[in-house]
Amino acid sequence: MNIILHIFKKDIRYYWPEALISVVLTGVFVWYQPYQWATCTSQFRFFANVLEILPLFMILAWLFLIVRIVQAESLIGDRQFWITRPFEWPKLLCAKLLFTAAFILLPVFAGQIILLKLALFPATPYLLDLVWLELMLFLALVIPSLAIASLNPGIGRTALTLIVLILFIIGMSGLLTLFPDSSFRLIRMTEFNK
Amino acid sequence: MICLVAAIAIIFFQFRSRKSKISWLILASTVLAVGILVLLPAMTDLTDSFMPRATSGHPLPAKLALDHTVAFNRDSKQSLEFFGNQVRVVFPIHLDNFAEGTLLKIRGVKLDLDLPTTEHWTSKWQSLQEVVFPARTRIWPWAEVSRKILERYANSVVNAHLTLSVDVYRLGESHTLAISGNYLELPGGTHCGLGMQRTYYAGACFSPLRNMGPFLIEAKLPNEECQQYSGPHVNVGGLRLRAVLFLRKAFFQILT
Repeated sequence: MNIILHIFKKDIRYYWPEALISVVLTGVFVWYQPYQWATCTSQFRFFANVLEILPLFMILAWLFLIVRIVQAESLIGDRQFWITRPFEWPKLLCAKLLFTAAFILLPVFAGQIILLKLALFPATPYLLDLVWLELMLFLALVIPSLAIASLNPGIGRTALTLIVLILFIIGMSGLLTLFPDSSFRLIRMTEFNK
Repeated sequence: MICLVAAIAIIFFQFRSRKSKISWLILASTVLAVGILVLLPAMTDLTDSFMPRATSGHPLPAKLALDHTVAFNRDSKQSLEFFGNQVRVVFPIHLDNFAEGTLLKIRGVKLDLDLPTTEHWTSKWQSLQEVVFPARTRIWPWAEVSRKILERYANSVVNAHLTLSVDVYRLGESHTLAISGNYLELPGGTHCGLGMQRTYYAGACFSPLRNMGPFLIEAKLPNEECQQYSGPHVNVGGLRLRAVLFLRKAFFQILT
């Protein structure tokens, strides 16, 4: 446990700006939600447009944060300083997961509770649902980001991997347009499987 | 699920042994598997497995037939003028024997034409979103047809086969809703704020996390002969803004 906390504290010391940006973006998201519910037009159209795509920035910030903390102890090669330390890999992994829980999952959880309150819903009956939502976020975002980060030695290579993956998705979408009713059939099949 | 398992495997291999060759192999295999899984249903016709045909055991709760009483007649001297390469062809379909407590949602349409040249032409599946309420007696599904086909065969007799993809909803428990001011509470803890938008009356509904199933709201107007409907809306959920529009549906029945 000491080792886990030691790595966790070290990561906070080194990566607090990235963590702060992530938390601030979550805060702005929570602050802006009630304005979206009201569907009123903002006088500051530029900022309103930026805030519309805030979830995208949040995801990018989370991804960046995960990449930074995972690559602090590079998992590529055998010449890193950290592998001469008495670190066991499960403890290293736990420390990284603890960091994502503290600076991504926990702020989102708190934000969801605040949003429930703002929408005049009691939070207690929905705690389990909130935990389920956190689990989904963990599985859909944190785990894939950890995997991509652990595969690459630096931020440049990580960006390259992501670009290749995005190009693959664009290419697949392009291929699907060759079959005129493919999108319709995919949607119907997905709905049927639900 | 494949991506998740692959990601966990990559994390395990990287943290445990830092053998990136195995991890890259896992990533490449996953990308390949996802590609195959996405392209395969698009390339092969599995339509019957996820859009089963109506059977005697599971019949369509309404009788649909081409309405011969409606004809879009034109003067023989009058030429057809089309805009764009795809022309929307509308079919008058008469509805009969609508089963009580059911609702239809037309999701897609496919038109097959047997051309006089013995060739076969298909529009393939096209998306269509139309909710059909029990009070309806006529619907107007449409399919986009290639302009070349229409120009060539507009004055010929062509055998056409229209296939509709329909979701059938069975109406469940009903509740009486009371609007107080501009506030409406739906069963299941959903709150709605109602207000007049530019040209329509709309509601913004909030439901806490758990998704609501499809629902139908019926409102009696001061004029008893007209009714207003909304929905069905699938997955009204999360703390996201969900608009409910109250639109006058009477225009569908103009020709009845």
